[in-house]
Amino acid sequence: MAFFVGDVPSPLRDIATQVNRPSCSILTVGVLVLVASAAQATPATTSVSDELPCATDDEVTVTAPRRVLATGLAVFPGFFVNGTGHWVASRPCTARRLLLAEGVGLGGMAVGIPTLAFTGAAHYLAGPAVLLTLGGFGVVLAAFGADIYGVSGASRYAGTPLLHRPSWETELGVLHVYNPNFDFNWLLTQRAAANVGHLNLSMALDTALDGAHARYRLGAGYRIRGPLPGTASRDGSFVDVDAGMSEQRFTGMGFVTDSAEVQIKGRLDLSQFGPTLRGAFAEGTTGIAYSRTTYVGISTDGDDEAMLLGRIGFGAYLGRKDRSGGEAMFYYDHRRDDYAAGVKLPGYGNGIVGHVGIHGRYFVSKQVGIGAVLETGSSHVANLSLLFRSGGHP
Amino acid sequence: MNAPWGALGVVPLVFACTGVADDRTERDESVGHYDVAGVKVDVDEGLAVVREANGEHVMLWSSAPLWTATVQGNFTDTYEVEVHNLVPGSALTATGPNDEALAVTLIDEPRSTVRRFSVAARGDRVELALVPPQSSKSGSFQFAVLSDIQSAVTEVRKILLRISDEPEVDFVLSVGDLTDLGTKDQLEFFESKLRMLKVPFYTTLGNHELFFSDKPPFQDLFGRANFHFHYRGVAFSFVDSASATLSPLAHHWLMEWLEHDRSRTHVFATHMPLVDPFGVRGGGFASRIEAHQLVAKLAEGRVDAAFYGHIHSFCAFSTAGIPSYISGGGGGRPELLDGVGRHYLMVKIDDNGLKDVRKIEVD
Repeated sequence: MAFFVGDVPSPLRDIATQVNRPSCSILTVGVLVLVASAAQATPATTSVSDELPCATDDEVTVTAPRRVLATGLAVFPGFFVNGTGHWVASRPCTARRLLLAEGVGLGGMAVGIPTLAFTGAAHYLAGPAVLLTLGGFGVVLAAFGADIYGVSGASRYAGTPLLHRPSWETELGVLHVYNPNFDFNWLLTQRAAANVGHLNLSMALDTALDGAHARYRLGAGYRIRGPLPGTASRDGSFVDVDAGMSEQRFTGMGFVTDSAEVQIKGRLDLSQFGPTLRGAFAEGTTGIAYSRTTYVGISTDGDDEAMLLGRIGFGAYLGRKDRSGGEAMFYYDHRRDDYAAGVKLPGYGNGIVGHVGIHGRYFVSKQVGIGAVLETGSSHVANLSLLFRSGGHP
Repeated sequence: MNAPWGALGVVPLVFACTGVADDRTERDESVGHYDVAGVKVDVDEGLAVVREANGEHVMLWSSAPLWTATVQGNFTDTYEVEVHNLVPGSALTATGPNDEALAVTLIDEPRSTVRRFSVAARGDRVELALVPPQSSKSGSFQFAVLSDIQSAVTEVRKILLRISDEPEVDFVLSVGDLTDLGTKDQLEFFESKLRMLKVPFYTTLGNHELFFSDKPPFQDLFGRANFHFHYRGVAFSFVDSASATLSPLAHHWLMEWLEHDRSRTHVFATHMPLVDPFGVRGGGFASRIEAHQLVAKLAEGRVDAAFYGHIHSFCAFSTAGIPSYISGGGGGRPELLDGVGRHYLMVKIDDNGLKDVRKIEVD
């Protein structure tokens, strides 16, 4: 599809072409399938007496030297053969599951990467191919991280997940972004979210303290499964569908971007994988965003764009076994319109990859906590915040 | 685009930095300057690469249709100036240390884009100026756009001959990805192919020129990655976006060029599209914030046309009302299912603005 000089496409056709209807259709169907599958899944129960998968792995006692050896081997050659650490630590059931997960992940990448390579990143196929690659990589990353986590004995020190969702949460923080091309560095960040039954309503406001910039977002979500206010879940797993609208005002830099997005987000508590993985989780998000950018002082309709959303992460719960303290997660995020955006690497492969980050939150009491985020991509981002919540604990 | 190799970039993410293009841009400042064994050559704005120089001879590769340069040495008789990649019929003028005009004789013209001149030089300094024919003449002219040749360099002959057969074409504009790996051998091989082109080839670099090094041989052979010139009333700005971003220094230079040429027809050329029209693919800048910031500046600077490569297809669209063209049709692994094959563009322009853009399919 191409426009030629002299064409004046309608805004709708503009957006449709930008969005690339075949890829969009595939993505939409994919999201709907995921939502339907999640909705039809067996509802979480609160019974804690259910037998954990790979329970026999929990009966093995591993000596400290063997644990050290297993942890080292989980790094290498475990990087290539996920589950190596658990094999060495005589936990074959979990090892097999991790290896299978790696196979699934590599399978996704084996479809996605050649599709991109041999089609010259054909725009009809790029979206699904990137999702397959990203999802596959996420599974491999989670399996690799889980292998190290499990055999290192980290589960002995891990906290417990939040089994009740808070009724409301707020956040107040300061964010520093370093990018030589930006005309601001410091922002005040404010977040608020209310959870009523399955519904989530959220708002966010970031305002620059040293430049002309503000960013705000309104969101609404539905929790298909997982912890709810007043209803305990079996573990920390959840599936959410979220829709949001945002505006990013970079008036000092000459433009304003308005976006709408929809995404599905899921977390799998890895205790469902095996007992050695208690306290760990893997997370994945996918969706699509549409935006229109207008330029200060320029009288045109604005530029419409679509963007694939995708995020994968591996993390662990923090705190004590008798209550949830918080969590920390390492993640990769594919989105390119936020401060961190896409990573810049020496060499030739730039523009394709998103950014990585670490986020952590820890509640020092039932209501008050601290949060921190570090991200690196096109910019370096650091955020420190105070967290407040009501509910979310027995 | 060659996405799979880029995906490997996820692995060394710990080494990510925001200044990946900084060193390369700083190297730009050394292009066009030579100071060895008593001979000093300085090309203004680095618009030509000094390929070799000694007390008797200098060889220059032009990155632009016109440039000025100073050669310092000990001149007692004649000094030979060999210029490659010039607009056919270009003249060389020379002045001495007292601003006296020096006699310049055309020795020979091995090809339409190569001329050897003899300058009757005396003293310790010669000022040179390359002047293309019709340089001061207004009115429309045409240039071709050809990028992303890469592995198809062995088959580029057909495109170059087709361009050479165009009745009116003054030069070829390229936004890079001339070769697959950007090595010196590959670039020299590509340069050898340019001998069948009857007009000069002005280019910035693409991401493939960085495959093995962030100090690419490109700058030693073809010139600066960021440069700017005027030709028949039209401004041309070439900018290095091979790392999916602009370095702060390149950004600063571009702002100066935009400010200086607000009232002039202005063509902007860079390898990476600021924004991929098919956003889900994400084949543009690493940061959409940086991309939109740059688009805002181009619009404010009243750029008349923008040319991009990187995506091996053709797409005409607009950003902030600026007519924009992605043309990566030089033969590198093509985008499938888009109905576009190997191609180049013919652009007609004058000092009143963009007149016409035609896509010429080659196969």
